[in-house]
Amino acid sequence: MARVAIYVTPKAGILDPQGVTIERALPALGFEGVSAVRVGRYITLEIEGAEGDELNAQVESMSRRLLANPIIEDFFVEIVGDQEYPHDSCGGSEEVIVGEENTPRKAGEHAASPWTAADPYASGQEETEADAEGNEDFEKGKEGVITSEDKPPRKAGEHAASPWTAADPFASGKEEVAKEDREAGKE
Amino acid sequence: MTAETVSGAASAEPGAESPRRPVNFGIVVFPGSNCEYDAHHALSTFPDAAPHYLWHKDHDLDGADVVVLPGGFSYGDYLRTGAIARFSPIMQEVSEFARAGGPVLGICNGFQILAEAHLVHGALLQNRGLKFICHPQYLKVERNDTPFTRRFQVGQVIQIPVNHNEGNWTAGSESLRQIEEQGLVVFRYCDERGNVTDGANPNGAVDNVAGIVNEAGNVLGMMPHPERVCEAELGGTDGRGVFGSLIDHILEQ
Repeated sequence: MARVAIYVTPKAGILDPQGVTIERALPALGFEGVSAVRVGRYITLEIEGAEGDELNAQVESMSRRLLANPIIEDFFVEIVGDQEYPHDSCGGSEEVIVGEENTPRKAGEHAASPWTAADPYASGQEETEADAEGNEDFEKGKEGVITSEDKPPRKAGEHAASPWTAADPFASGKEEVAKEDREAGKE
Repeated sequence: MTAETVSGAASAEPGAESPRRPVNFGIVVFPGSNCEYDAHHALSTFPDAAPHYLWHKDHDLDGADVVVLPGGFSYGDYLRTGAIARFSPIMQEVSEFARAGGPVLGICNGFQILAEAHLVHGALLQNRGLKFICHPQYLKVERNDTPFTRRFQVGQVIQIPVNHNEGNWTAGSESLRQIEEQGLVVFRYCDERGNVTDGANPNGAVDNVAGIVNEAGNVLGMMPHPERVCEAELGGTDGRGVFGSLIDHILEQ
């Protein structure tokens, strides 16, 4: 049995309305300077039987055909094997990412609406640190193990233009998007 | 109603020697479809149309001349809209039917399924306002040489309601260029004067695309719901043009 994690993200140049909305909401919480918010999907699963290249091929095929839509989404696959998933509580671990130990939330602590409070996370300093640690683990986990499909996450600045203001939301879209589109169309 | 009166069926065209046979519309029902009855009802107002339902688990189009993929929330819109329905058993037959030139009309969720199945170009993202929208919408007809639009004029402005959360059509930039070069866009969102503007774009769809055909022109995906405007009592009759065109197309074959 092999555990597999699949990350599905919106392609460069493709409008991500959820990401845009979150990006707009963050300043209201006092988080300034945040940009390039993109919302994706994290899928975990277990596969019996297949190993090695066959396993890779199976996961890539299911990702391309069903889990992601290559026209609008990139995906990459991480074969975890019998290890625990990089960062979640799905099957592999009882542990929750934002651990309770780190961030004991007392009743009423989040009572205020995040939309009206000046900074509802003012008391959540530890939580932020925990998140940062989690991200580090994630980064470490990626190295070496990723049976990479497609490219690594895109570079900073690639999403410079806001699709909401740019005349052409695809102005920054790379040709490869279209190529994949074409390929997908021929399936 | 004028167009309908003229082509309404029973009044066979002058010189027609044999009585018209009814056009067989197969309406595919997926778990979560919810516009199949509307489509059936709308089609039943055409004397020349014989609508019937097709169950998604079947491998049989039951002699359909036209396949309709209705609106709704197939498979609860899980994963992506249309992503699961696209692999329903009957979609194999629908794909073969489409590749053989049979007319396939995908409305709303049906459009999303066609896009996921790569039977039309592009993909449908969440509306840019992140809101479910439901209102009458003006559309500009870009082509009337398709089996779906022959009763319209090019440039005609029609009104058909939209009703969706993921109608934000998009495609890669290169793909988009080819789509426009080949003139695959059939309907665009516009204002009542036919101006295709961002202000008239309800969901952020690239180039205001509301409906698009495949290269062969026999598969149309459209977000607006023509089946909801087929009777004056229900607010409009512009949707009749779509179904009426299909009837004309089949009867002339």
